[in-house]
Amino acid sequence: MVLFGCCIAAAGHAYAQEAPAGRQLQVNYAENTAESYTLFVDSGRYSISQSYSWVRDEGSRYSLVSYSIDGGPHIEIPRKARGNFMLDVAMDSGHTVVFQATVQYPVSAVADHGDLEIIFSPPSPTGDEWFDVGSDITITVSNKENPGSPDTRQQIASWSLDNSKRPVGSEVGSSFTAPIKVASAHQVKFESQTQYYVRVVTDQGTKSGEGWYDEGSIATVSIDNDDLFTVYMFDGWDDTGMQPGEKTGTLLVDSPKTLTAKWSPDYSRLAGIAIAPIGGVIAMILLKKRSSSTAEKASKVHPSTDKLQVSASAPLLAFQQRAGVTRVEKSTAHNDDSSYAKEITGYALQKSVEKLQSLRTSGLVSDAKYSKVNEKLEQSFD
Amino acid sequence: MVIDDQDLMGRIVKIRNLREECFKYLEPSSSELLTHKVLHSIARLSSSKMGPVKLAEIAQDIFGESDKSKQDLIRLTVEKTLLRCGAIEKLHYAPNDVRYLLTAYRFQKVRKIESFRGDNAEPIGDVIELPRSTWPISEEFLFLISRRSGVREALKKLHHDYDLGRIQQGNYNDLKHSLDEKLEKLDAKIAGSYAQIAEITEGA
Repeated sequence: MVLFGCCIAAAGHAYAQEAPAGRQLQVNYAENTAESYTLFVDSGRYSISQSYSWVRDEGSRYSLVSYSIDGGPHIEIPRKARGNFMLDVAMDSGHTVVFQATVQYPVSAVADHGDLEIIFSPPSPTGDEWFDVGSDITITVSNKENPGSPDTRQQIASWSLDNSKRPVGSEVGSSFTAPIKVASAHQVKFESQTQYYVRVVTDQGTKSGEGWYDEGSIATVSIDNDDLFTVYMFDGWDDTGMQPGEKTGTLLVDSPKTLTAKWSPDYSRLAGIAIAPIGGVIAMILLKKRSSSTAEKASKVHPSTDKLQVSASAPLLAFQQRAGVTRVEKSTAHNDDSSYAKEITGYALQKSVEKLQSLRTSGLVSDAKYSKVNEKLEQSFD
Repeated sequence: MVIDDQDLMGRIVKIRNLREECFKYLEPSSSELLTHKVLHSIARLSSSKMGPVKLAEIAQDIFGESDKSKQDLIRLTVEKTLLRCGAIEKLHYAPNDVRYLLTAYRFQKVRKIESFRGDNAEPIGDVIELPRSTWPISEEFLFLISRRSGVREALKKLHHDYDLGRIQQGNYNDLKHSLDEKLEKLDAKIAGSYAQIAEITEGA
């Protein structure tokens, strides 16, 4: 059959119908990746339809890379996993087309936790999870950002290549990269450990023990306020899991934790610190009195003493303010700040839900998805 | 073969050219045709499960039963029409596990398509899209754009309240910093993974 510039598509290899006469179009495959064939075309143009990939064996395939015409240069073909590549050939004379293909193997990577994201680098040349034989790739697994629970993460604990466990090293964090040289079909698995953040909140002193802990481990946190001039007394933790009154405590990490240290003014220290400068002032006055003449000095000392007494009361006032009045004001302001922060968070949630409702009204969100996303939004603003 | 959310949503972004004889299956005049029903069923089901669908599921959705004769009817129909037109694709998960998925959710009628040179497809009329309720939009994307909208509105309220003197500067600065940071992360996440779909659904 003589063909005039037509093309014939096929799901498998290049495919065309043979013609008994005409100009010869020879189609070969480098490295015998497929069976060669010959066509006889009368004139005009002819389109060869060639699959981008075809089966090699159960675990591999050939992927089209380039072609050459009549021994000319290799012309690269855009790499694709599926579909057909169309090659127009002008049949002004006979031609030989050679297709070059490479072997590809599938590389699958799975993580044991949905919060982990897997990225191939470089990505598959054919846009799926098949890679050229001999290529070096890396598979990076890392925590997905989870706005709903920022204090929970997955730490990579181990990984395996084709069921053979590999070490991850002690420096591994929430992201890990596995190097692979593609030599066959590969299966990579990542196993992770859930970690929770233990946060220590305090207005006073120094804290220790805040950080990430493995799920089920025991965290030790402590608070230290041994500053000589502190006027606050440690009252305990607001978490019932902690030992009452102890500045150092342990807790089981079974969820993200926030431990807030509670403080109250220490009036005994306050009085001691306040009296000290007053005592100093009195001592200075007495010293001055003793070193001056009685009559003259008395007339000078009174105003000066008054002045000193006034200035001596300043630290006391400052302490009173810090411990008492100011403390109360600060506490009130904090409560106001806190309630406003809650208000703004509630407002953000309300507006988020309104947005979601508008998407549902527009038809973009089904009822099932709406419920799930709504729930997630509420959790994320907790 | 894993079809992830990104792959699915990429199909919404893409506008696929269809020849007139294929495009007719999308038009309301074909609503009684089985091909039209199958197309919409695949869209609806794959949006719900966020993945490709089996013949049995399509048959159940359309006929309320999924016996072999109904599945055969659907298979023969799609092989002659939607598969050949490139409107859907067939995914082989295993020898006995074949699933179907739309290649796109927005289509352009053209006079001639699939040219090797790609320069002789003449568009006819407007782009037609399947109902948005059947688009495979991921829950994560919906969460991100809803949350972003909430954070944006909260920032507006914060500025407004500060201007009215409702809050002190320190508190304002803290909250503004926190909200700005959240918004920045959400913007980056949306721009990184969902820029094109956000442009279609949000116009931004």
